[in-house]
Amino acid sequence: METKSPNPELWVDEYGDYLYRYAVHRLRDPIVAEDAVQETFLAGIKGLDGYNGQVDVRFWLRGILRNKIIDHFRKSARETPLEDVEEYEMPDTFLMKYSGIPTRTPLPWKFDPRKSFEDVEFWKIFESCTAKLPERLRQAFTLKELEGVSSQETCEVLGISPNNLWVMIHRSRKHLKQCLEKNWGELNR
Amino acid sequence: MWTCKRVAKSLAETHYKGLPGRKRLGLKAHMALCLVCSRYHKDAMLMQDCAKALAEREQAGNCQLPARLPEDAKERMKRQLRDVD
Repeated sequence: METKSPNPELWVDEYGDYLYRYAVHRLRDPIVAEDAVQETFLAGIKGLDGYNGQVDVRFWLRGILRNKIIDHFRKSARETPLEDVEEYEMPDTFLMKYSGIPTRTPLPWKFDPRKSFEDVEFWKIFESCTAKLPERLRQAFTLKELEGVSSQETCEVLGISPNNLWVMIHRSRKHLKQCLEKNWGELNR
Repeated sequence: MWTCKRVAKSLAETHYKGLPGRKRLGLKAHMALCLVCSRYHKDAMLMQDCAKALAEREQAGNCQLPARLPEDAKERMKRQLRDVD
């Protein structure tokens, strides 16, 4: 197990690229990602006394960065006009609203993505598909599905209702399915 | 008996693998009987699996993005860390 690094200056060389890639992937803005990594290192050095050495320094710093990213989403949600959130109200159909049953049956997949998990090219396509999601959907998908943040906290961070979240997650999955079918499924059938 | 709404909410709130055994059984039983829900929620579970696999790859440092922290940013950060230290 890795012990506490005595020289945080080494963190930049050892973990800088790793944290930056993670931040760019989550935030999709190299400048904002750079700031988030910088704040992470500063928070890390200030909180070094609280590091107990039980996890790798890399993952400890990643945990700090994760909180910085969530803070960024919270701030960005506060700056988003309410009208944009209303777009994600529950679809106004009786079946969906009161029973959770979608009114249209989704088309079957043209391929099984699980069979492509070992293929590096598949993940390139998947990452580019997540990057193409509309910003609010991408944030909801990132928090809920990639970061595993609870529904309650995701709603609080994004300033939305549970029904908003439900629909946003549904729509992000639908966008991703369409993007994967188009960019991967059709080439690999 | 699980209703469509209960299935939809459970899958919106939790990763299906995180559901307790009894709940997963209820979910499977419902999906065996309800064709619309079956396809809809298979999509949800598939996307959850993709997201989980991607998150694991990222954690291991296997992001596909070729992003590297620019050298000038690294130098700036090192200076700042020295100042705080």
